[in-house]
Amino acid sequence: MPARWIVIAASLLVPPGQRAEWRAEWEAELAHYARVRSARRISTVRRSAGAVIDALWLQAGQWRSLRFLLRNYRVSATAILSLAVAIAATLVGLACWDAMLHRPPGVPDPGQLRSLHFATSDDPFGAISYEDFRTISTRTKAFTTITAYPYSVSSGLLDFHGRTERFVATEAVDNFFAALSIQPVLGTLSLPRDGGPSGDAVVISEPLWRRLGTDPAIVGKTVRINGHAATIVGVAPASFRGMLFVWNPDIWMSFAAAEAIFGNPPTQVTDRSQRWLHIVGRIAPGVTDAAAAAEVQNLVAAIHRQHPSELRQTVIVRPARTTPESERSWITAILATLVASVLLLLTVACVNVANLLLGLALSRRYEFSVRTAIGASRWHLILPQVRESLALAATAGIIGYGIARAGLVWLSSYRPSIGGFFPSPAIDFRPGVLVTVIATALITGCGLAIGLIVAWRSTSEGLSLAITHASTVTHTPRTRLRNGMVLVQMAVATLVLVALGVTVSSLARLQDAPLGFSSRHLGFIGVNLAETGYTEQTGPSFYERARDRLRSLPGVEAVSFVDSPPFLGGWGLDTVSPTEAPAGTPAVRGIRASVVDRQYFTTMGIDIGKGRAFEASDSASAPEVVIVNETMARRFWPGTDPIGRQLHIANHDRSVIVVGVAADGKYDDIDEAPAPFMYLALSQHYLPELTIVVRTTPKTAPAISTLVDRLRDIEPRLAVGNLGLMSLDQLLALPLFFSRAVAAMVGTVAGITLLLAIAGLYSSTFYSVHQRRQELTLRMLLGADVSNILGLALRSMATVAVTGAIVGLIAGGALLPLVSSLFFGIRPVEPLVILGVAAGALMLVVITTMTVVWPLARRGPSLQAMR
Amino acid sequence: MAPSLSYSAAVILQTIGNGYAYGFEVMDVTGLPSGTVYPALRRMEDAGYLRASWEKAAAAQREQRPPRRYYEITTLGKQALADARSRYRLLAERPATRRTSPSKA
Repeated sequence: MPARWIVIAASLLVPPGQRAEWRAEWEAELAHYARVRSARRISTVRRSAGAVIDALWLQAGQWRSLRFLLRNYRVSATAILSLAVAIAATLVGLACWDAMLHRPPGVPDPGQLRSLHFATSDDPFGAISYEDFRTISTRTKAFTTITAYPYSVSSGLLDFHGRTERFVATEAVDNFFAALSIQPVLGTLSLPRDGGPSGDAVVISEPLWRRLGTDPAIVGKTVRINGHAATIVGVAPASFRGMLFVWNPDIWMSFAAAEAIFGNPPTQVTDRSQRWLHIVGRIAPGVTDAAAAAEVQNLVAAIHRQHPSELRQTVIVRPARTTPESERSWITAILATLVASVLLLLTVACVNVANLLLGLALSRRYEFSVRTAIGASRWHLILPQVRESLALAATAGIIGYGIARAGLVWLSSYRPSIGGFFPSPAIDFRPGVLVTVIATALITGCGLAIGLIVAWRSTSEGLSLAITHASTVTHTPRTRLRNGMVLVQMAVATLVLVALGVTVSSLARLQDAPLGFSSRHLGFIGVNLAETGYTEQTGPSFYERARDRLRSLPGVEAVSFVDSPPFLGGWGLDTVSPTEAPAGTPAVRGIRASVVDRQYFTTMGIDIGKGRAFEASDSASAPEVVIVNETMARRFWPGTDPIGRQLHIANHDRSVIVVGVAADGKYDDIDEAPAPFMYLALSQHYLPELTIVVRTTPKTAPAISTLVDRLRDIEPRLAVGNLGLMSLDQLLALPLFFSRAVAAMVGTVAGITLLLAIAGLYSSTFYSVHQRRQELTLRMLLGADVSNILGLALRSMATVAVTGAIVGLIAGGALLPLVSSLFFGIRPVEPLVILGVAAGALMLVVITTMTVVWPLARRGPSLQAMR
Repeated sequence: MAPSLSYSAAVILQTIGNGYAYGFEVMDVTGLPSGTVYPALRRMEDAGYLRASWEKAAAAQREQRPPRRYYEITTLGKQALADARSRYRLLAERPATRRTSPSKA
């Protein structure tokens, strides 16, 4: 019987000396109740629930404060719940800050670990080439050990004994695990040195090992990764989640293995111009960061003397974190906003609780006055109230911690989809020791602050005032503190409305932002011909047949090919200069380039403003051609016609002729500024791995799976699934992911803050109206009607509330320029948002006041109120 | 000075004074939840307004259930109730239904 179990559990709260008798009484009552009433189970459970309060009351013993809270359990429960919600939100904010900005990587002795950054004029936290890493690692004395890895992951399918698992893989140099002092769960964590034997060796994570069946003899066994055989040499412990931000690798492999499995170019380990590795190392005892940076700077200078064509780089040494330094600024801005918001929310909750307890303290004014009269000091009156609010804050803290922990555990296991090509990101948000300590300090601080405010206010009135108050009809209690609270609540509510308005407005603008291509009814299919044996000679004919086959399907308007669709990255980066530029003009680095076929511009709806698109005549044997975007045309040939001009691509040492100018578009991010971009012809740059772009009609569009079936009619072994299929919505999930996450975050915090602020406003209005009940009743007896009473109440609230709203608007206006860079298309002053917020704040006051006053005014004068 | 009674406590005391002797009976008569009734019973027992004792085992055995704890009002409780009635007019208006004393035998 559940009711009996409630009683048994509650009996644990009863002091041991009284427990047996207490339990006997409750069990006897329940047994009798069940026998004579044949009561429904729910009714019995409801009755037994009171046993918990009864037990708590007994536990409280002589503690008057807790007894007082228990006696007023409705007010206590309201206060505890609102504080618990705010504490939960604060904990979530702090845990996010800890997980994303503060927490060191999960390696032994993380305090010794340093990240080395190689700054250039283009990239303040640049990477380094494989050859440079090898040179530095053999010569450094400032670090006892250093290792390197790229900030990149790959995804695919792994087959093991008939079990297929999706995985996230990354690469690392041979000493990666040894340098980080990671011990294996099974086998060894040594990856093969590049070019050495056992190139197919891989290390798997403990979670993947468990997903594969927790085979204790898995070391030495073969798995198939995207169809390629690889040997498992070890299992890394679950405590090590890798060194990458957001992505937790399941597989670590050598560069040689990645070359074989994912087709990574072999030049990445031989070409010094390919800077793609990030370095971490353990700093030697007694060496400062500055000394270590100076030593590595000397090594870089020596490399530069040997290889003058290399970039000049400045070495920066920082404590190692999984969050890349280049991402820390925007993450800091977001998290600072989040933490500030939740602290604001906590403030609102504290104000609400103080307000509720102040209301409760009114009923004890007489008691306090009498106790003062018979000799109790003010301290004796303050102490129990502080104890009450501490008990209340502690209860709220425990509940809030429970809520936050459950939410953070869920968030840590949540795997949002950010596009078909990408593995789902994951971060361990579970609160650590630091967050728990800070939260405990905050909770204690809140309890103390609330208790002191309430105690100071409730004991500040003298004996005579408290005693005469009962008989004074028109007495208006001092309302400064309560007015101050209404003002704070109103200011916070307005500020939150500003944040919400800005976020919603930014997201709406982002979703409607022009992309530079026609964004409707597009589908993308990734294909890899290399895996099915096609060559540069046979591949182009497959592309032509695929185009014809798909184009013949009903509902398909156009078919095209591109190396990588927008927003997925993967562009080539070229160093380019106009051929006719004066000698000594530096080439422009990092110009993004995409390989497309001749139908691409039509399929995507990209306008060719000048010149032409690619044509059949742009064959491999014809002069190499390029189409540039408008920004690039303006930058390289300002005021002149770029058609027919030549570009020199320095990193491939070849020249190309500009044949067209395409409209600007968005390439990596929806909110990016216009940047140079160029298109190369697929007919002149064969690629075995491409994305097929299909534009369909709105009503008769075939499913993407139908398109894949038609492709497999041509080539049954075609590798499609591993690369992914997606619609434009899935494609846009990645660039919109960040904005949607921010909107969800701000929306959630704003929603909770607004609810708490409304509750606070309501309670403030409620108490002040009830304090004036006798006065209002008198006025109604003297002839005031409903509208007079409503007007009176509104006028008394309006001054404070409007002042609060103005403070909130000013604060919002001051903060907006600081955070406007986080939002898309937001100006420092947003008249529509401000007007909307002002109207919303005004409505909030009117509705809250009317909700409180209307029942009182509608009932008319009541003699009961005059007693 | 004896602590004054809240309205709920006075209602419970009056109910006990009317012969309803068990916690669950008080809940049925007053409509108050168990989380209010039981702590109030403890408070008033501590204050000396109520006296509690256990039902005789034989009576409980006849009904095949464990013995129940019953409450009765003391002289001090009766004084406190009279004082509360003068303060809470509604309390005086509540029907003073008396039921027969519970079996202790």
